[in-house]
Amino acid sequence: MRPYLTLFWKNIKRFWPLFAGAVIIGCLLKYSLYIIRIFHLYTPIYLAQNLLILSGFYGFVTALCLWGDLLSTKRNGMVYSMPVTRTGLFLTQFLTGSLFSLALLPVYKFIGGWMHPFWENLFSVYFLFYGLTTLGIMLSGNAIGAMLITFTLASLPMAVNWLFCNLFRPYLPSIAVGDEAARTLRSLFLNLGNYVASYSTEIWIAAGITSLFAFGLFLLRKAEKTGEFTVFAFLRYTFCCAAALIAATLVFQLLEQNVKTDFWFLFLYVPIFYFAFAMVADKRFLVFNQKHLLTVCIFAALLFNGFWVVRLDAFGILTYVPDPKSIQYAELYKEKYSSGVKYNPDYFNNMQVTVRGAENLTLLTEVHESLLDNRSFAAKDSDMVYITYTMKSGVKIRRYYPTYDNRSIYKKLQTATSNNVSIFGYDDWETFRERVFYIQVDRDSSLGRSYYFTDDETLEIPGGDVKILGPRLRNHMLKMLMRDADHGDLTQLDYVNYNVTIKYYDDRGKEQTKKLIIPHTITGSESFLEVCWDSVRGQADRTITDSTPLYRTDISFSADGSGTSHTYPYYIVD
Amino acid sequence: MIQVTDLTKRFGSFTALDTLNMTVPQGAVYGLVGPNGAGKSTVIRHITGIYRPDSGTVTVDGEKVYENPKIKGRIGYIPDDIFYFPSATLEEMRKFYKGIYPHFDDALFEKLYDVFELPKKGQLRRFSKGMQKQAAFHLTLCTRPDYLILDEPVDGLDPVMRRQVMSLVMSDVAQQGTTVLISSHNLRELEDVCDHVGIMDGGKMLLERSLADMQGNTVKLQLSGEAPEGLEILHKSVSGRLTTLIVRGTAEEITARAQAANLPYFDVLPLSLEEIFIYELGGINEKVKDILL
Repeated sequence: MRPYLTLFWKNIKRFWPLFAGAVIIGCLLKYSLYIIRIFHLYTPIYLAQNLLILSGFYGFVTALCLWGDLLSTKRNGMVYSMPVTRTGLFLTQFLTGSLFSLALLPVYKFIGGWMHPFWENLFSVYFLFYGLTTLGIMLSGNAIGAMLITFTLASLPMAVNWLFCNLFRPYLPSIAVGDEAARTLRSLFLNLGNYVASYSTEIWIAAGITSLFAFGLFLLRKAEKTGEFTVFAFLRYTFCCAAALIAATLVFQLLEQNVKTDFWFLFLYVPIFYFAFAMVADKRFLVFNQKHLLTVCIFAALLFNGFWVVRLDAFGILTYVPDPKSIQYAELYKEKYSSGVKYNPDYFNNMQVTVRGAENLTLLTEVHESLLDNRSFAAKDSDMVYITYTMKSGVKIRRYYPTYDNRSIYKKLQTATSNNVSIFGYDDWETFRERVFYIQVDRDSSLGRSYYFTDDETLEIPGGDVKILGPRLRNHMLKMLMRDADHGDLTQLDYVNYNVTIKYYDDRGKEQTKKLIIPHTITGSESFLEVCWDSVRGQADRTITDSTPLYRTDISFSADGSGTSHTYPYYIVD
Repeated sequence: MIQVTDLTKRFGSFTALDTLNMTVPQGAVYGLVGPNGAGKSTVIRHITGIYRPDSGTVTVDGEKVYENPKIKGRIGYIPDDIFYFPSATLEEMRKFYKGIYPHFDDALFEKLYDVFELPKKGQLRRFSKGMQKQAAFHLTLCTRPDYLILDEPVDGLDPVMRRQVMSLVMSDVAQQGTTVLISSHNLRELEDVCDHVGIMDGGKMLLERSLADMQGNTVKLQLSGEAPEGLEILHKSVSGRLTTLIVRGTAEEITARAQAANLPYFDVLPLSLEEIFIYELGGINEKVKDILL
């Protein structure tokens, strides 16, 4: 134990300026905010992303410093001849790196406020890059190699996203599975703020896996030939292939080439970049030897074959439409191009329509086939339709398609989604209405009250803020309940969400709860925030008519002793 | 005892060590000699636990060295290219070594200041090469190693300091029973201190012998006249009337035979280490030239 403690304290004494530098630079970011805000350049969310980038860079530099002793023959001679084991050495260095991560804490505390959703991600991003860089050092044995490998691995999710969603998108318009992974993984770079906060667990897991992998390689590594780009010879070729593919894809995108007509260029870029990276790996210009030539030929052949397998849909993945009988339920989402919102998981969740019932599912598969017949490649200015089938086996199949203005398809979609009470597990509204016994509406938990009515009950709500279901909100709620295909312009920014909780009995008599979110735009005339009422009195009216399928109740209230009385009709189900 | 058995090590397609066998007896001062690129440093890095063998074993007192902190704590290693922490002073390195090696001797450390006369303050990396080597000796000897591994130890030291350093090492051997392994590309340097020598080249051990055995079993016989019969002659050269023979046998045996042959003139002389190896290896060939000349 004593040698490890000695090493640990030596690390602290040697590298404390790194720790101090991170604290100072991180804290200075706060003052940069004032300058930036003066010029209205950024909102805090972008600065949060920058802080996360700094956190990743700090992890990278820390790993380079701590593992730098292993990068030269001279240094590693002293280290490995010491009476320590490799496991102990790795853990000591890792512990030091972990301790150095605490520099982020005073930074977070000092900046505070705006960064609060992201503070946890400061550490997860730090450890991810610390792990990636350590892995890069284990693989390459030198700082340049570590940097390239770290960048390649960190960019890999984005590269995968590019490959599947952009390069192959015209040929894979319907494969949405890549989006799921891409959304998770590219969030680290494209939209650090929101998505990193959502995927903190995944980043921790990735950090753990890379660190464990680095540990395994450290134990296997024979500590010889430091300075070689890759210590494990076969990885040299793997790295060159991976890096070449990423770079070639990037160039293809930057030049905005059309994959339909220009994909041959991809097979020109790949060898060029392969030999460029081979020059870096071998540290010489003349790399046109037999091994490299053979590797690039095999790689290009694999790429070519893979491309055509996808292009020709050799396995029938693109055109597969499941049998409605084997579908448990389906989820449908339609995104309007004009929204400007390309992909927002909140909207996705809000706008998702669940399709159940044999008839509806058959209709949906017909829609699916129509979409297949009418799909267009490289469709940029079109709406997107997302379908997710949950099969009876539990497997999920996701597809998405661009659609042009095809009225017949829209009509079918509307038919498939209208009158769709399947969200509640029922096939018809009549049965559903009979089972609802409770509706609660909250604006949010910190303001106002919730209320409900039961038979013959008159409820007085003394004082406080009360949400009154005005006409617009009522209509929103009705629309949500009736599942009208046209949800209105839900793509505008809504600052307020109303949470609707509906309790009902399912077909087995079991109590179920469904929560819905109704986005609502506050206008001047409906500014509920300023409303403050003395009391509310109401009485349930049990009249049910054909035109008013829900119970109607009038509520009378007065505000602030002014004597003004208002009556608002709204609908509840008793 | 250090035992290396069938040690093989490859770096890519290059075989640095090829089924190398080597034995360093307990308490010996073993000289490992070979030309540049023979593999001396590679085998030393195996003995000090830096490298992991591709095949074969490296043991110290019967225990494998690799990943064995107990054994590595008993080995003191001075490489040819020494590393010190940037901005570290001798005192700081002392504290570091004291924390790492379990038997570090503070009293000896203070005592050795009189021997090496190195400044206590001042960054080690700013010392001259010779002073850095002295500092390495200063630190390593104080770890009280049972095994002292020296890779080109006197390279960079002036003649006076060389003697002083080797004297210290020998003193340690005498007092502590330390086993010493010294690698060099110059046999003459090792002649005065080593009692065992191994010559390696191309990753293989060409010859490994105890000096006592070699010097006791091979002599130079200068004579005039016919050589006595029955001598195992390793080498013969004639210069005028004087014949020089390198023969196998003890000095007493050869003297007795020469006397019995009633030679007009003869003289039995000891061989230098260099001469022994030349003739043991079958004459001066290119390999030996690199090592010895």
